[in-house]
Amino acid sequence: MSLSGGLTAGLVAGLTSRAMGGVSAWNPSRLTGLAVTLLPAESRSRGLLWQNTAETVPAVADGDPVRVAVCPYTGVKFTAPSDAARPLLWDEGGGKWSLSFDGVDDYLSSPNVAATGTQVVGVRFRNASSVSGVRLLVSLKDRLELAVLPTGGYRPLTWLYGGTNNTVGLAESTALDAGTYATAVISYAGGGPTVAANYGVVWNGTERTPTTGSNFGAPTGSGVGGRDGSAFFFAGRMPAVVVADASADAATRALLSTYLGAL
Amino acid sequence: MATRVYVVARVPAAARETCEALVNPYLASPNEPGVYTFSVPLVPLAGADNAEPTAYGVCSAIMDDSGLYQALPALSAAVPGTAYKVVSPFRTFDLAADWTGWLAAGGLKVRQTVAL
Repeated sequence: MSLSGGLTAGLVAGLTSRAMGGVSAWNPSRLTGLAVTLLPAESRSRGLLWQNTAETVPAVADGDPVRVAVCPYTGVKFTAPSDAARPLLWDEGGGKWSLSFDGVDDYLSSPNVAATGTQVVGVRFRNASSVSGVRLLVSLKDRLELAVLPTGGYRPLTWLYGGTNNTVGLAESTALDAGTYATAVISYAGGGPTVAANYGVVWNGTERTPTTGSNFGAPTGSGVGGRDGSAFFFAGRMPAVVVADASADAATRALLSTYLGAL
Repeated sequence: MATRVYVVARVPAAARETCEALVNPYLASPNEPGVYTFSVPLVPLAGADNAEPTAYGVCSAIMDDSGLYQALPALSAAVPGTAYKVVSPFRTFDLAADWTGWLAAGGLKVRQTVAL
């Protein structure tokens, strides 16, 4: 399906579902270049979460550790590198589920979380209450990192391009509320990764203007919730991560943001 | 009724391999090559952030009726210099108090080698 075809289908589905009072008709499978998703609620309902690498012990109950999470759309797996690194399935109530990351050593990796030419990443998350410093949401080796600065930072969400040590960030001045879920969708359209105009950012449903900021080093690994060798593991809960290896225009970013915001 | 708890633990760097072998029989799945259960490098609290690790740490969720939980006292006693703490139930885990603060009370902090 072409980008325009996918976009049109997505828009139609989104508008139709909104008219019907929901957003369930649109899902990440409509994204061009969908690489992998981490959707605990949907994977759980389809029997695609496992406590062990042999995939013989399902993760279904509150508190169950997740060693393997299978994307319901692509079949691509997220895997924790060890039993200790497993995030926990968390019952949010109302049929909603997330994965809880302890902030010490929990993270998931996937071969399809990798840097490509153009890209879109969407994530919904909630910080733990007692967190300080930079925490990693999504890392793509040698390319970029989606990070959160829960306290003391003027850019709580930052899209980092490591290749030239330049940062393209979201100029968000309000500190993140630890008790509130946040949704971010960031796309890179190509044309130069250090140019802010080549990025599109939707923060909690509102399109924002990214800016170019200070320097960070290139990420040395890939993962969700952290990466090997990092001391900045995410502490909190994530109901969704979506990674597609194609850019997304403003309309598609809005659809993805709405989808994520309902999880 | 069994309760899921978090266990944080730290082991001396010199005893890391010994401790890995001790807990290995209790794991649901083997670690990948080169990946450790005790994966978090720890350095002296008063020293440089990027000092050589003197210890390694872990945070893992287990059931309080599991074999690993029941073996924790004996495992820790078998290797001098190890320490652990149980946080029950798992939902009460507080990163600042139960990890960062617990490490600091033991004179340790997480090693940081880069700004990010």
